[in-house]
Amino acid sequence: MTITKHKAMIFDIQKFSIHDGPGIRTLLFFKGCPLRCLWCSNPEGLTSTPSFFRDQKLCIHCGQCEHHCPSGALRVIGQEMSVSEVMKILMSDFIFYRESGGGITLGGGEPTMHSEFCLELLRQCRGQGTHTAIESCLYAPWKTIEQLLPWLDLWMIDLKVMDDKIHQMATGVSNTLILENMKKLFLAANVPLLLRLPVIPGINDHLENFQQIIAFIKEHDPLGRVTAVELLPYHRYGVRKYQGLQMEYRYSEAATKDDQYLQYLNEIVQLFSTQHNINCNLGEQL
Amino acid sequence: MSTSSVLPERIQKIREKFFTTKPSISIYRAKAFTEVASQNPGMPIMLMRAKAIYRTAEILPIYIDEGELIIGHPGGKSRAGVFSPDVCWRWVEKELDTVHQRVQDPYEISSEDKKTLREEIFPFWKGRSVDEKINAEMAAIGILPITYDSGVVDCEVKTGSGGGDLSPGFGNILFHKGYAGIKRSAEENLKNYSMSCASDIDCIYFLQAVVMVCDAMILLGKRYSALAQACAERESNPKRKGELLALAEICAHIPAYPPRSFHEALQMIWFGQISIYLEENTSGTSPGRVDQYVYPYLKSDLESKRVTQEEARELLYCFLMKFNEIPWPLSEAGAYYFAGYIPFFNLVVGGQTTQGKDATNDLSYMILECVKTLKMYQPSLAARIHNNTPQAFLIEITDVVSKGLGFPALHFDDPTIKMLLSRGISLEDARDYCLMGCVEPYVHGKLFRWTSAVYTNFPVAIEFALTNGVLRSTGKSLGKATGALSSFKNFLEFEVAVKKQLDHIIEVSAIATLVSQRAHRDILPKPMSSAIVEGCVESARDIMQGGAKYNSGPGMVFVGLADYANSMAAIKRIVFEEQRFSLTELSTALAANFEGYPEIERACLAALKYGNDHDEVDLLAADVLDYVSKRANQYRGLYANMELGTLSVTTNIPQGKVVSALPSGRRAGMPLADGIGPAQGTDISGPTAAIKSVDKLNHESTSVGTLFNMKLHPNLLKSDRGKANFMALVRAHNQLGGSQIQFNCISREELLDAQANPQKYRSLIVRVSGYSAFFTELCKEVQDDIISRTEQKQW
Repeated sequence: MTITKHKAMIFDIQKFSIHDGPGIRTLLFFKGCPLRCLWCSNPEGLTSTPSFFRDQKLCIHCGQCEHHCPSGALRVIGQEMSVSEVMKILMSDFIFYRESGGGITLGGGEPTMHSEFCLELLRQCRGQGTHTAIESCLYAPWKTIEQLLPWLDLWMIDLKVMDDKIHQMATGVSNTLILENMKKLFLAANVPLLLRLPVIPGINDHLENFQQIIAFIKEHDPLGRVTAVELLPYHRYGVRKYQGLQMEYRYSEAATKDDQYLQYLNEIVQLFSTQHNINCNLGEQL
Repeated sequence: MSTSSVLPERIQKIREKFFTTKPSISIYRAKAFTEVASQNPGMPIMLMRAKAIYRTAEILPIYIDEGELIIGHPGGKSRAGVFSPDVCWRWVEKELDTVHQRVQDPYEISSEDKKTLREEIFPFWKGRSVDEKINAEMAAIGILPITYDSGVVDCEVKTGSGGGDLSPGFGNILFHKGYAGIKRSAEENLKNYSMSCASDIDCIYFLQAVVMVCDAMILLGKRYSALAQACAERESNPKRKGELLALAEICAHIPAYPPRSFHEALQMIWFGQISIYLEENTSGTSPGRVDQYVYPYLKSDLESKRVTQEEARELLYCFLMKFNEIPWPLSEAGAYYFAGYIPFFNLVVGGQTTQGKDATNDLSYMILECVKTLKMYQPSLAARIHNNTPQAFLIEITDVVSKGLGFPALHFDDPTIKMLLSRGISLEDARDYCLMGCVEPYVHGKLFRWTSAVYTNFPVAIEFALTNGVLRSTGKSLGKATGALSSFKNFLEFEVAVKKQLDHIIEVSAIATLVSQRAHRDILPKPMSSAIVEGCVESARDIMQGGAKYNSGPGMVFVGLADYANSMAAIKRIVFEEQRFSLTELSTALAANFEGYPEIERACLAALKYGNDHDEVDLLAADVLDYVSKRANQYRGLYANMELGTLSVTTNIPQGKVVSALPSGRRAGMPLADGIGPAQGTDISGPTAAIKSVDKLNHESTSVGTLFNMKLHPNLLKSDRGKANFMALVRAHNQLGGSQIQFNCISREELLDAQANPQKYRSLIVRVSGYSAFFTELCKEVQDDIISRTEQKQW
């Protein structure tokens, strides 16, 4: 294995991930993200530096944390790792990738913020015959995306909302760069692209948003690279993490759990699938 | 292939009746044995037992239940367990008035039977049972404190019950000869021996005994034939009348003569199963590769249109149903070791031919389908997997697993065949392996091997090393004196002490095994079992005298592998590397069950755990497994070298009661880890990491068998994609050299609900250990242990 100087801040490596690309995969979570989505379920991935997580249920306020935490409440999230350290863990499940047609998925956080690291890692994965995927919001210089393109077998694009004003309000950045990159990617990629839409009630779940997305795909994806659209229903699994990170959860949800809402989502799925011939499905929720 | 997911009405009724039948103790065999033994004092034990078996066949009540197409029961009644006072009567006497209301596996006994037991049966057998003999011998040689008294080395499996552990030769002997043919062979062989030759005498007695037990089975067949005829005459429904007449004809032919049809083949196997229980109360009588040796009969009957697919399936259902009707009565303590009335009848499908080609056939699929639809706990279904197992077969297996029955357990051909090759079994016979009991590799009708004579555990050796040989829970010195804690300068020195303690436990286990083996040989010879094991009639020797074609073992079973590795890893890291606490401080905390030592407990819990693909701890497990296996192999049983097994059954619970708090962070008395799986709730890195850890072990070294329980959340198997990933896990485990895996696919929520509302879940089956059982028939402790295993549900 080549030893490289590249290191990146990693906050989790999750084996047996089976919803982020084909087969059995290992999901690598990079720390650091240019967006600040209100509903983010991985707030520990937002900053590029290690985060201190204090479990309020366990903490006994003893003040000894300066040395070591005796109750195990305090954890440092995020560890700087080299490509070879990460590769060792990723490849330990190689046999499961091979048997299932799986591989590795880069996620986060936003992996494109660690483009040199990703490039080196993806090269090595490709060299070992492992399927590679990335989950990205595409908020990155096109050059970065272009650089990674040859080394990836699947792109999962996290698209939030088409209306730029809402986008700025909900994520802190404009979507102009994202949409531009998407257009370019539609033309440059010769691998499947998967669009993932987190459905956030009151923010991007209005019919118009979905219609705009469909129109966007129809207009800019002449080669049909977008093989599927996945709607990811909103969930609150990340909320508890905010307390531990001493962060504020800024999204206040609308009621979503009722059958009527589910019915509405299914209608959206139909909208994509039948009317516009785009393979669409409702992502699984635990 | 046509599939049918609805049970025929006939089977629904039989199944319904099963659930309303309470398990009971049958004393007919006990009466027959008592009568024959008391009337023939001084008769050679071999002949006495054969005569008693014949007498049992004479007096045993026979019945044909409504709708049954496969008939017969060794206890004279459905769900009746066969009491064997010659093996062990003490627990029955002790529990006579409480056994019907005990927590785990209650049994009914009629007041009339209680009277007979008290007045005639117990008094006669006092001082004569194998249990008392073994107990007395262990007392005489001084190993009672570590065996019977403390349970560190538990021997009840062979002192409280018959020998068992056999896959009798239904396919290779009964199907070719029938009991009349076996009898003829024994009579022929008798001509070669003379009573005037000292070394011939035992051979003559054995062959005469075989003749008698064959007669007993032929008699039983005739009685059933007559009963079916009589029932037919009384029957008004013409369809049923026809069935009964057919049964009369079948039982007039078998078991004396080889089967001629699919129906006769199944009934023949069932008579074979019964035969073992006329001999003694036992467990593990496994029919083996039914899909292989019965398939020719099915094929021929289907081709000649003698049966339809539907009729064949109905016969198969009736056949499978029968296996549920024989429980394995054990003492209250024993029932904790083998919870759920489980008789361990193992039936296996798939695998390879003796030439190494895929052996899957239509009957393999039909059995899977029927087991899936029948949803009963017996027979324990196993499936053999190899590199060329058809994907269609694996898909069907996945479908059965997704139903949450815990069936089938998967066994992988490559390591399993190597296990048998290492015991001197030929390549052809090894490829033809079946499973016996819970997970033990076996050769149908050719091998005799007690797969377990003692149950013990790995981590107690660590406790002994920490206490200089004292079992904390009793304060008694049961281990070796390996030195004060301050004398261990580094981890290696401590490990040496632990291994000395293991040596001691293995030695005691070997001694206890020999005592049991000799006692069974001397006072419980087994001519009935021997009649259907290749080599016995030919060599004129009983299986207990080494007559089988192949002998192996006995096995000694160790549980708590993960607790051992986790504890050693914690000591290595916390005490010797990081030096956070001294060995003495740790030991003090353990003695206090961590009460008052929260920091030490947290440090212990936070140490790396087996099952997460960390070499640092996984290799400690691999090392000890190899070590104990080699040591066990150095001891010789009566006819072969002893072996290691890690098939915990539910012994991880009672064995856990013996062991105090451990450096793994496990508290005193809690269950130990089962089989070779991770400790409860500690495999937190997902199923791939758990499989990777397990497959670092040298599976072939546990030649008696090993088991790896994995709990899956049912959602994982709901979608086609989930099923594909599941199959990939299985194939990867095969590639990594795994020998076994079994799945519980029921959500934690559902199990908790079943615990709270048992009436709603009467037929909920769960994988317990090497077997499945009805969840609501398990006591709370066993239920809790199942619930506490980590559920793999991450996605």
